[in-house]
Amino acid sequence: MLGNNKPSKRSNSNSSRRKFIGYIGGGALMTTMAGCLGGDSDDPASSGDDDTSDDSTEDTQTGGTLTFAQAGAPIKFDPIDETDGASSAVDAQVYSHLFRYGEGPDPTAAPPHSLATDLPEWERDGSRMIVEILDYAEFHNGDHLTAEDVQYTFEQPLVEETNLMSQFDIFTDIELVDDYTLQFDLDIPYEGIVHAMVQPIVPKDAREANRESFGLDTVIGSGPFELVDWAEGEFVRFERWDDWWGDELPNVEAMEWIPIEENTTRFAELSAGEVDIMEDVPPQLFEQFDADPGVDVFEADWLNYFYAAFNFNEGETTKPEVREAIDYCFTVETVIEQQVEPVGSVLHGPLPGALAEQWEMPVSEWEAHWNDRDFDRAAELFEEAGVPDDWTCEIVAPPGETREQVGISIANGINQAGYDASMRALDWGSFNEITAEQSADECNIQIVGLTPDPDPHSFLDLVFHSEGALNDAQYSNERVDELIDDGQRTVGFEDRQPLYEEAIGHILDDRAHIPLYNLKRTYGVSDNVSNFSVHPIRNPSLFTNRNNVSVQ
Amino acid sequence: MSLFRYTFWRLLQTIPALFGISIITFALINAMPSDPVAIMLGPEQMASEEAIEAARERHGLNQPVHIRYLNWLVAVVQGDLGVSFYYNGVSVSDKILERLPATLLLVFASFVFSISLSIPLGIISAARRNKLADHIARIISLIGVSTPSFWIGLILIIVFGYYLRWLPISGLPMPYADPARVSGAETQFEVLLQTLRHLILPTIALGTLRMAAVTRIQRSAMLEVLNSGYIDLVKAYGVSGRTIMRKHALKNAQLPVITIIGLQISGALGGSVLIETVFNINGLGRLIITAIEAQDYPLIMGTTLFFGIIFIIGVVVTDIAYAYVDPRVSYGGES
Amino acid sequence: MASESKDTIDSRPGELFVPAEEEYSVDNPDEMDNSEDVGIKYTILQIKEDTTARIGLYIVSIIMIVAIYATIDAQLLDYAIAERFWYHPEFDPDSPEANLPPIGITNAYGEGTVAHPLGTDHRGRDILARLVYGSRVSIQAGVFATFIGMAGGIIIGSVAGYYGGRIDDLLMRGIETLYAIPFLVLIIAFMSAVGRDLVIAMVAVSILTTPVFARLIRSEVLSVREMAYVEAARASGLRDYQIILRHVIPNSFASVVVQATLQIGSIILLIAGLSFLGFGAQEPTPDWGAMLADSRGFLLPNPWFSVWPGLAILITVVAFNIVGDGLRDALDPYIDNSQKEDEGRI
Repeated sequence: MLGNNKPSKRSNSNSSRRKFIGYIGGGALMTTMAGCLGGDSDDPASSGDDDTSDDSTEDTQTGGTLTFAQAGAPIKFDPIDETDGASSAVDAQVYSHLFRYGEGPDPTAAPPHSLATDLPEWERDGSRMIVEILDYAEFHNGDHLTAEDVQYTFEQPLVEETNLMSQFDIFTDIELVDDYTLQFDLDIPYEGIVHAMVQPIVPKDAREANRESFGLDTVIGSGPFELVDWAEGEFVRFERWDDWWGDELPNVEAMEWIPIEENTTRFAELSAGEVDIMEDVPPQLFEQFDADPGVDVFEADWLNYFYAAFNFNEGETTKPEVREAIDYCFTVETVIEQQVEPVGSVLHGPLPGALAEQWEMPVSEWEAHWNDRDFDRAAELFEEAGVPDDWTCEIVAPPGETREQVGISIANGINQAGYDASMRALDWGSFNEITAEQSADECNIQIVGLTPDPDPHSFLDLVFHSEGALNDAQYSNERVDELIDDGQRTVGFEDRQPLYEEAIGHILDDRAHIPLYNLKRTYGVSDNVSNFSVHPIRNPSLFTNRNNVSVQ
Repeated sequence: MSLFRYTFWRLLQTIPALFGISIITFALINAMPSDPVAIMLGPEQMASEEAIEAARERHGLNQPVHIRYLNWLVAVVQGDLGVSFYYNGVSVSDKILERLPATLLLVFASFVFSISLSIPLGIISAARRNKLADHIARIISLIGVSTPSFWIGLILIIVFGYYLRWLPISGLPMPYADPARVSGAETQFEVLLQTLRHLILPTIALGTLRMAAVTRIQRSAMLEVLNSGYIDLVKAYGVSGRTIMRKHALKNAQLPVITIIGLQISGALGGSVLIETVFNINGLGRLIITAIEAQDYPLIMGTTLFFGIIFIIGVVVTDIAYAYVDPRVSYGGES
Repeated sequence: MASESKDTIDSRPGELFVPAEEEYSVDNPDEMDNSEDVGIKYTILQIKEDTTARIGLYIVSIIMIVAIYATIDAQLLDYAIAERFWYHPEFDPDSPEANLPPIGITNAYGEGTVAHPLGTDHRGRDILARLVYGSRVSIQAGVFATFIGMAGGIIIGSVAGYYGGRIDDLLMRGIETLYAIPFLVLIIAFMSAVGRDLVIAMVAVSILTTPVFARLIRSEVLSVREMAYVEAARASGLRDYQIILRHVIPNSFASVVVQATLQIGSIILLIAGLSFLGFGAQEPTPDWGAMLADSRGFLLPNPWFSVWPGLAILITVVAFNIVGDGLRDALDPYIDNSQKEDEGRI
């Protein structure tokens, strides 16, 4: 997220391993307008003082071109085959979504911004959903949008075996009840699936007719903006679709998005007035925003989870004393304070602050679980565990400035406790290879991030379930597996909550991970922009059910 | 042997070199630890054996190394460099051609910059040996040759980009680009202006080292010629100083200079990787970095091969220019 | 990137540098008697007269001493000295003050202090300490790669030049191929395959330095090969390798030394470039190029952070280049430094 925003095929541009789903992740928290700098104080929950998300109509103007500097360069605009966050951001402007997010992390139906007219109806004990969509939506090429397009959007990823496959394979069957109603059958009940359905819908006929060029030369959506021109690495140009079938039109007439990977350059462009909004403000630039009266930082807590996972396959880290010793090698609060704040905050458990709150988790217990730095105690524990003197702790992480710096802090701590530690930031290819292997000589700790759907199931299942797709550290605890499985198929907050609370308790006791931090979404915004806000999950919020940005 | 036959023979000699590059490149790629399939599919899909096999089949990764190499070679000769993994279906050659102009422009600009400064500087330096002008020129070229180009770039960015805000520090629009696609330009002429504005800082950063190096060579080559018996002889015949410089010294001094300029193509291409990174320019150098970060094999192979080809062309052109200029060089045998 | 090492010209019309102990006379018909103007003693004398070269030599010596100290402390003593008397260049300080400017200047993060005369980096580590210890990587890489390249180049070049014919062709084509791919690109690709390790980078750089020396030696050998004394030596029954070792190589030594000195500077730049892109020294090893890469994200808050490592590289490479130039001038029989005050020849 900071500095090295090399978009990788598997992560969204903001340092998360979870693919493009990077956009989902909620927060009971509202958008905050940290107008005058959340610079120094760690004030992540400065709850929405200025709620620009109420559709304020003061200062709205029609017209103008909004220039937005992305942190990564988008490469393809096909929602069936999306691979990186920068491209998804573009998709979100050009295509319509089935569901949308409201103020917080819960999906909602908000026509015309969402195609669904209402939240789904659940049947069959939660394993069947009925979804109704609008009957007047159209694509840019004039085609009518029907349930068939929705069905196609959810089935095609499995046919083409794209990244979205794993999200949608829970559907055993998708039936067309009529032209504007669908019935989704799920393999097992799972309320949280609605998050995955905040998904842009593609035109079946147009896409099938132009398979090769769809997403590149041919971009046809049903959203309020049309993509009129783009050059990879250079720009993406949008124009307002004046014939949009929704009842409201965007304030801005056109948009130009430019990818600028280097933070300082991005800021320079914003400051010079060349761009109106910039994505991703790294901590060291907060001061510059202070100094410059014409720009502000807008931020919101994002729902993600960055952690250090221990190798449970082989090596010293399989011993609980060693894991505890490593915990004594550094004080997580201090490290996060130095390396992450103010663009993130420390986490003590596998659910980020707002989600933990929403699910009534015992956060203070979690906090008490982790130890402050104590090299002597660490050395003792290492001894007890019989760690050989020449042991080198290998810490690996994928590209990403923050992760790297945090990793270095941990390595330094272990060094100071008397054992060798080396921190390596690898490119995605090598990282995936090494973490898949989990050999004790190459990978004892991996530092990764996760931005799944804002449901505890997603957070826990992927990395703590023994068959979790992202659990390559091979942590395994039968009871935890049970609880996660039950949690998914159980319906209703009351019944699910205690399952997850217990599961996390075990996970913490086992010290499967050392939870590290949670990142915020930050945007630098120039004064001539109004009605911009940051949503915890879906960004950038330019023209949504919550706001309609305008520029002078 | 005539110049023509020398050219032909020289070109023929590049073929083994080209083979060499292709083998080296191919070997490198295959030595890479990561499994491209793993990257493409992501970990979830790895669970499914069929999916993995299917992907492997699709990309022909199942066959033994030498077969893959031959397949690749055959395709390359026909101009097909494969399809990029990272750029989701865009053909490698398209991608290269897309990025090539920026790098060529940058390299060309830096050559113009360095040659137009270095040759006069070198000559003056030699002619006014040990005088003030010489000392100044030598100091400048000494510093130029010893400074990391990317550092010069960073300093230029700080000074001209942030504090003075005179010049843009990111991107490079092509002079023939459509004005509609270039911000701040309405007419084609304005596009050209934008190109020049964006070109200034990166050119200085990239060109300084070349300029300094060539200055030094020019100077020492000139000195060598000036000090050689030949010049003394000519002087003895009463030919004026100026004429000596122009007709005799200069021409003979050009030979090593030409050699150096040609050989520096390699350095310039390597240097462009750094400068493109610093200045956010979408050229071939940055493409290689992106490709390597993404472990995009076809793209890496294509770009590396391409770099090699450009360089070889440069070397050949240099050799031919050298042969043309120096009547003493025999086209047969060794030089 | 290493191309300015092509400072030397491949074929020289007619000079020879013959060591004084050689019994055969110099083949230099129309010159005045400068038979004393050769040899090690003379060379040293020349350098002494050359002020610039002397300065360069002092700087190089200082840097070498620093680098040797850094090597001892870092690799043999595990930073024991730094830890006790100064700052550990790799560990994070306990209460880090990040991004401090040099002494006398104030920026958004604070005031410069005597404790950190050049300021601190983004993790609060003292920049001066990291510069000092960073010299280790640069100098080691420069020296190591140069020597290996020299050794390899001498072998290949002398064999190619001496035997000529097909062996020559083969070797030279091989060398050319190695030249074909731009250094930086090749090394980066190589390291992606094999791993991002400093040692690997050094090995790769060494391999790529070989062609430079090979070509140099080869051309030297070519000019020497037809000389009378070599014929005589062959006639008197000396074996090939003996001839190469005893006559050919010593004759070319001068230009090799010059090239080597200049090459060190080149290699330092190359390694810095690699580290800048992330392919050289890895965290937390201090390295000048890596420091420049780190400084990039902080150009606005703390621009001084990027000044110092760049300056370090600059001064080091300048020093080596000055020495190399001085050596070359000293070894050139046409230049007499004691006459340096003369006007130019025309």
